[in-house]
Amino acid sequence: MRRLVGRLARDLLVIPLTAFLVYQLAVRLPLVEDNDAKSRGVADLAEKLRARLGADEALGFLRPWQRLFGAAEADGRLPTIGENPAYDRARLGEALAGSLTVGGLALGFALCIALLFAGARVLLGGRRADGALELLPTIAYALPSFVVTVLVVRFVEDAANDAVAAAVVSIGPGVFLGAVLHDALRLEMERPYARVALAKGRSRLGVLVKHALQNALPSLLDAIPPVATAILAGSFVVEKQLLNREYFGAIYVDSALRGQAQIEVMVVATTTFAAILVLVSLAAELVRLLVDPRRRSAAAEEANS
Amino acid sequence: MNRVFRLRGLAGAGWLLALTIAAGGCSGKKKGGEGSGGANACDQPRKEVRLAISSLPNTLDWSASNESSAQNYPVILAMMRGLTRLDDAHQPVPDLAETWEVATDKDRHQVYTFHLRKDVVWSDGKSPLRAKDFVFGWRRAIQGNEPAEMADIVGGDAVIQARERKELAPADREAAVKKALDNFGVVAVDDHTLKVTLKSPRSYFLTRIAYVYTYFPAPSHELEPLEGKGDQAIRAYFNQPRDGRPLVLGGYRLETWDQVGQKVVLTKNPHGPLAAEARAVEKLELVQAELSPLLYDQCKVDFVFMDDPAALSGSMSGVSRKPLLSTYFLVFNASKVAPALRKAIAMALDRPALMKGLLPEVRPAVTFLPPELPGAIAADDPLAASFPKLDREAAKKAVAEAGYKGEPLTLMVRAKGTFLPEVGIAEAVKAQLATIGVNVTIQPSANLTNDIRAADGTTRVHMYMRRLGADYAHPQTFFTLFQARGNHYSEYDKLDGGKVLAELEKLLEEGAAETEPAKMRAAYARAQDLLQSKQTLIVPIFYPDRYFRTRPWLEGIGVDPFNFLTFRTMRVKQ
Repeated sequence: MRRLVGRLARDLLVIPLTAFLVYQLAVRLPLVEDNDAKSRGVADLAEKLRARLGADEALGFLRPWQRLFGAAEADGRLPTIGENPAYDRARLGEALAGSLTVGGLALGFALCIALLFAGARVLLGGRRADGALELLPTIAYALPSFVVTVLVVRFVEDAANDAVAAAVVSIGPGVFLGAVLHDALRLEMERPYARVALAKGRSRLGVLVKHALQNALPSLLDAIPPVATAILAGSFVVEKQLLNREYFGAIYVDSALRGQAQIEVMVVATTTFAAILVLVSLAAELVRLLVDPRRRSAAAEEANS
Repeated sequence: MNRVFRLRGLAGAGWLLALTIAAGGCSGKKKGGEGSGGANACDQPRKEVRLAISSLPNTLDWSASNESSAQNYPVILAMMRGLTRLDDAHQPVPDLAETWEVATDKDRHQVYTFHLRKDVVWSDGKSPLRAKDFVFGWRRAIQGNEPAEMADIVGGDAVIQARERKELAPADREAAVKKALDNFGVVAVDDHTLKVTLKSPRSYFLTRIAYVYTYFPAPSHELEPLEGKGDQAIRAYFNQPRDGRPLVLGGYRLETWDQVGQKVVLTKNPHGPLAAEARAVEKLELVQAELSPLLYDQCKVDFVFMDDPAALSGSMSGVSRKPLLSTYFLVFNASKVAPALRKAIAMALDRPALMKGLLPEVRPAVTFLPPELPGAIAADDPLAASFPKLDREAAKKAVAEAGYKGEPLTLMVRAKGTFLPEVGIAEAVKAQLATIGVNVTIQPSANLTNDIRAADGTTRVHMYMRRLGADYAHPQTFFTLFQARGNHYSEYDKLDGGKVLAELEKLLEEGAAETEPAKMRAAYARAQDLLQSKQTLIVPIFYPDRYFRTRPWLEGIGVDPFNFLTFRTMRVKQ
């Protein structure tokens, strides 16, 4: 538990640090946009951009957050930060909820794919069908989500819905988690306790579900945080580039493409995703604490001492 | 080991398979001719239309505007109108102004008196257009982000200078600007008469007010009460639509602008020029989208620009082409390339051969100004006789005269954010110049504005290529680049101690002040001669076109000569 609290404190420190660094990096890029302007205006574009970003102000790094959290005026209109209006928080909330739905569904699908894939391979161990399944990770890794999406939008009538987006994103990570889980399960099935249970006449499925799976889960949990990152990155591409969903991923991709013109969104989106990944990592740790017998006993010893 | 090879081989095969199918999905049409929405969804005429564009507006406050204004034009031109509009020959004809008179006052100022139409109302259906709406809008424009557009009006320079007085405290500066505005030459004589006084005659004024949106009127009766709350309240009025606001005069009004999802929704203005048009589109959505050709094939959008040279090299069925008032040309750095070498390069380029295979159709350029531009000259005009033409033998002699020793000349081109195959054109230029013994090193740039300038403000490269488009239908717009504050990066302003720049400025002033068309054309022809022949600072290459696809049941949608998506007269075909 102490380790968990320490990790949480460390990660929470990383979030504002990420926001600060992204802002500093962005304002230090050459502050000129490539444009076809025929002549120079009254104020230099770079100078105006620096002023808008608060680049020369001591608390300038708070500017993106002002734009996000600016309260609406009495008439319902949003306040203006620099020359741009603050973001509509309800609309941003909808976008974030959309992305989290896709991401959450994708993580769920990925776990289902992992369990089915690993379970099938253990149960089919040594047979010809298992040999065929062995090829699946190779194919899945060779097909990034954008390629799968192109195929899906070509053949699926209404591809632009959350479940399809989640399914597309989950294939690669799901098979990866499945491969990790399969290795762990195979080792567990070769341990003496599993062999004894099988010798006593228990079915392979029974041993797998009741004994081996619980001991193999920590390996799966270790792999979830990096996979969550891959799922989020995949969902950005799928949401924006191909399915044209106006979710947070789309906003993030847009802001990155538009560079300093959207620095506020870059900072806010990067920080939000950093926070989400920290939460996923924390959730994985908590689940590990609940399901891993070795952690449970270690936590009990820690509590007793 | 074998297993590793087998897996790698399978991975490669997987990629190949996926990309083959994906490429088929991107480029080929589906069964029935259209995308996943099915043929019917695409072919069925609708009054709700969705358009894909690469950049959405950064502001819809047409008076204050933004330094990067190009992306605002499609929406603002659909929402608003000016005193004049351009006819099919790009000539100004009446729009919000019914008639006008032009006179010269005792100070030799040019005075325009516009008589406004009396039947025009704002989109609330009850507020009439008044002359003071122009006064309010133009006074905001000179205080906005594109004040130079208003600099020809008497008193405009004084306002701009007052804004630049950085030594003053903000409150004092504001007071100085207000005082200067008292002498700004835009006056509402009565509700329907507007008087505009220009510093001196300007032959481009009527064409400029047709298209440059900072000249459009603003609904002063709604904005005046907001003035006390500061300019931010007025910006919010334009940029955060609600309750039918902002009021407009064009065919469409702004319904929503989702700045998070990057989407603009426009609906037909019930009191605008399309009000009685039964076939007008009722609602249209503009979305910012990557890979928009794919969305077009899927019936998710009804208009798409075709900018990918690979896509244009295939079948052109269903693809429309629009000639632009625009020129693609090569610019020399006068400090680094000797005059004789500049002349040699201008004579060595075979334009049609240069563009072969790069675009479906090409209009090679001899003159800097596109011949379709009012006030321009044709390639065979006697005034263009001295412009450099293809002559490789003369070019080789000029190279020898220039004492060129074979050192590579750097040529910078845009590698990003362009709809032209610029790197391909640069490769062809390099190959053609090699035939006269000139070596070229191509420098593709993702940010030409940044990369072309050294820290000391000088130009890094020997030459660069760019596209220049008209902002309005007049020769003056093409020469803005080469004026004193222009972003020409040619360093020609240093030639002869600034005498060449002064000569050009004099010719431009002559052209701008001339009201007789033949004399005006001659003045601008001499300005071209200075840049193309006498100094050989530029080499016109071709006049670009824009390609797009739209549904066959739509008309009035396309690209205008200024390279903006236009849909102000869009309707469903009968």
